[in-house]
Amino acid sequence: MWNYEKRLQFPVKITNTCPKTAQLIISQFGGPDGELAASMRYLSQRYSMPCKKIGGLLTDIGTEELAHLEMICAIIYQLTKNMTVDDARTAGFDAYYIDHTAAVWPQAAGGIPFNACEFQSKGDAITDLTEDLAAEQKARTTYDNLLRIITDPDVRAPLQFLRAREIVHFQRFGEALENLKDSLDSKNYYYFNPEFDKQFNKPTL
Amino acid sequence: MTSSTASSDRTSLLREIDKISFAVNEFTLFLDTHPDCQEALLAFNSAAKTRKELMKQYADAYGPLTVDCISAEGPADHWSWQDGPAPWEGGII
Repeated sequence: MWNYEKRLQFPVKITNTCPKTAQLIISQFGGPDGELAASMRYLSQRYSMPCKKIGGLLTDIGTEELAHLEMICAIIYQLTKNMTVDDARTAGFDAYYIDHTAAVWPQAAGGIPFNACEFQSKGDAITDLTEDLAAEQKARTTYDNLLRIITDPDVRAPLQFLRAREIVHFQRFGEALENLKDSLDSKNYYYFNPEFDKQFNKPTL
Repeated sequence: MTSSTASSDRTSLLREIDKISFAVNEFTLFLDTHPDCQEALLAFNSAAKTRKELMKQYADAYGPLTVDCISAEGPADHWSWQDGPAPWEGGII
């Protein structure tokens, strides 16, 4: 189970209202490579992960992603909480305003609602860890794109923190994949699915 | 003590908690893939101890950050968990 800690992982304090910026950053909440998909990806994959240590890593990273999701939502909230009717007319944010006013709701920057099809829980340890490595890189690229466009230092600081976390998680998942391969047949890692064909697993897994 | 000084003390203590909690989280992930690294184990133990002390210090002065921080000796006639700004408000940071 989880316990709530009443603070953000990294502080978010934004003074300038800007619905346009919120409409871009919302992708990291409900977009294809956002924090919600990241958390659900890892927390869903861990049950069938045959290597207990990797299941633990998925739990810990999936939990940290929940804290990232909270930071992204805090950014969106603070960018829009004082908006006027004129601010709400901002191109791109106007349609969101009609459906959600100033509430936070998971969607991509392009308006596509959050969809579980955006993450995979495939039931094969190599497949899932490779997916996780790619997911961290895709999120990092999205943060790079946001940081190229956004100039407000109050918004950039938490985004830079989150970008750096994608790189650390990529490193940890890379180590997990290497550890897993140490327990497989180095002549053919793909001879069987370590999550399903358990009779072939080495006791070291 | 003026209220702005009190607010600044509270903010700086919360910043210390953010920093030490970040270290605890970072050592946790590292140890997940390097469970026998003695250097990381020592670093984790030291950071976890400091975090526990700072969390208690914050709870005593400003209120609990987790339900576990709600002091058994606290005022029994008031529930303090919902006091203070929500983390996403950016108020005390």
